[in-house]
Parts: sequence; structure tokens; C-alpha cells
Amino acid sequence: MMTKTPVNNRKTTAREALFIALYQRIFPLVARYVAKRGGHLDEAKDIFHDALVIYYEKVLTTSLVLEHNEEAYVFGIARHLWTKRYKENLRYASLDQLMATFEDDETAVDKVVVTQSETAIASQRIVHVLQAAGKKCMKLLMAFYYEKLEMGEVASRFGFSGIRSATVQKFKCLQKARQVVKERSLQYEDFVE
Amino acid sequence: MKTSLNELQLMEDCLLQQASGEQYMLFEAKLLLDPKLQDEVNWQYKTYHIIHEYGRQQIRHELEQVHQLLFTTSVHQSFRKRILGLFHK
Repeated sequence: MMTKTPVNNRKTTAREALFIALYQRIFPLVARYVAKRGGHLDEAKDIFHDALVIYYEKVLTTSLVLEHNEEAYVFGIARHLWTKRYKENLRYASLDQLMATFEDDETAVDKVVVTQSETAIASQRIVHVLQAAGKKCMKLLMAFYYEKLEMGEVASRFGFSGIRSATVQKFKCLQKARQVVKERSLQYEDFVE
Repeated sequence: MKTSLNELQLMEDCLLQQASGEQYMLFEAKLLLDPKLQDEVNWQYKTYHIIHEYGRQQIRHELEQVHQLLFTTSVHQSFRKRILGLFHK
């Protein structure tokens, strides 16, 4: 059993250092795998980035302990994504659709759909709008809900006096975001209909 | 009418599956009594999904910056050559 690289204090700069280290150690393995199968550098880059996104979400922001080492885990995801996206020609399937077959390859294979859904495209548009509407709020929401930081860490990163004021601001941001999501979703529904 | 912090926290704990059995029961009762709350719950779920999407986009952006750093700066020249060499055989 191997340990994962720690994300010290989880600030963006620490994350950048971590990504550089992972890139230098693991990208050569992925690039060699893709090159040997006739793929291009851009394809190797795309699947490697997706693999690191999954690694970040499933391992670095959780207390999950890896059974194998980091290299094997990330390389395993990249190899899976290469097979699905380029060998089975599921180029336009979303990352979540492709990953549905990673842990349970036998049963979930039929669930993968070929085209990116209208819902996913609408979500990306809403993300864009939210980003323009309030970047600080989105970064705060990301820190808590995506990076899974404790409220104490969120308070310290964003300069709040304590957990309570950070929590109040987090809920204000969430309510504001929910309102934008609702308004925009209804607008896009009108377009689709 | 403003929603209290406790109510927001209760809804969040229930939606993120961090509530106790007692809290779930209380929230389910509130849902039955308040049809607007069900609507709020649906939009809140969607908002969590959008925040997750936003997080992913940020991470992808950071990875793209790291890629540019490794493939364009002279300090990482040997790494770049090593990778490009794999694709020119």
C-alpha cells in the first residue's frame, strides 16, 4: 500500500507544485502509451488532464487510501480513458460517462452514451455566467464543495474572522448562485423548447 | 422572508447526506408542509452540480497552465524533448 502525495495547506500554489510533480513523474508513461498506439501529443495531454481531474476528486480531496501507488492509479485511469475515447470511439462522451465504466466495467458499459447531452452543455453555459457574476463567491463555493476544505480552512483562506462568518457568507453565495442557476436554466429550457 | 442559518444548514446536511435520522425526518416533514421547499431542493441540487463543474474547469485551467510551463520554458527543455521524442519515432 502506497501513500498519495500530500497537498500541503491546499493553497493554489501548493496545488500547482503538486501538479508539476505529478506531470513530471506520470505524463511520460501516458505519452509513451499513447504514442505506441499511434496517438498524438494532444490526445495524450487530454486524457492525462482528465485522469488528474479524477485523481484530484477521488483521492486528493478525500481520505481514500490507495491500494496501489499514485503512478499506477493515474496511469490506470488514463489507459481506461484512452481505450474508451479513442479505441471504442466515444470521443464526445463526458468524463463522468466514461468513468462510469472504470470501476464497474462489466455492468455499466451500456450506460455510456456517444454524444454530450444538452444538459451538460447548458451546465457549462451557466458556469460561465456564474463566473462572470461573482468570481469570489464561486471560489469560496469551490473551496468548500469541490476541494472539500473544512470551514476553518475556508475562513483562513478567504480572510474571515471565524467559522461562523465564513459559513454565513458561504450560504449567501450558495443562495445567490442558486438564483442564477434557476433563472438561467429556465431561460435555456425556453430555448430548447 | 429570509431563511435562517439553521434551516439552510439542515437542508444542506440532508442533501449532502450528512444529517442524522432525526434530522431527515424533520426535513421530510417540512417538505410535506411546504411545496416551495421541494422546488428549492431541486435547484440546490442543480447548483451543487454546477459548482462541481466550475471546480473541474478551474482544475483543468491550472493543468493547462502547468502544461504550458513544462512545454514552453527553457528550464524544462529536457522534459519537453523527452516527450516530443516519443511522438517522432
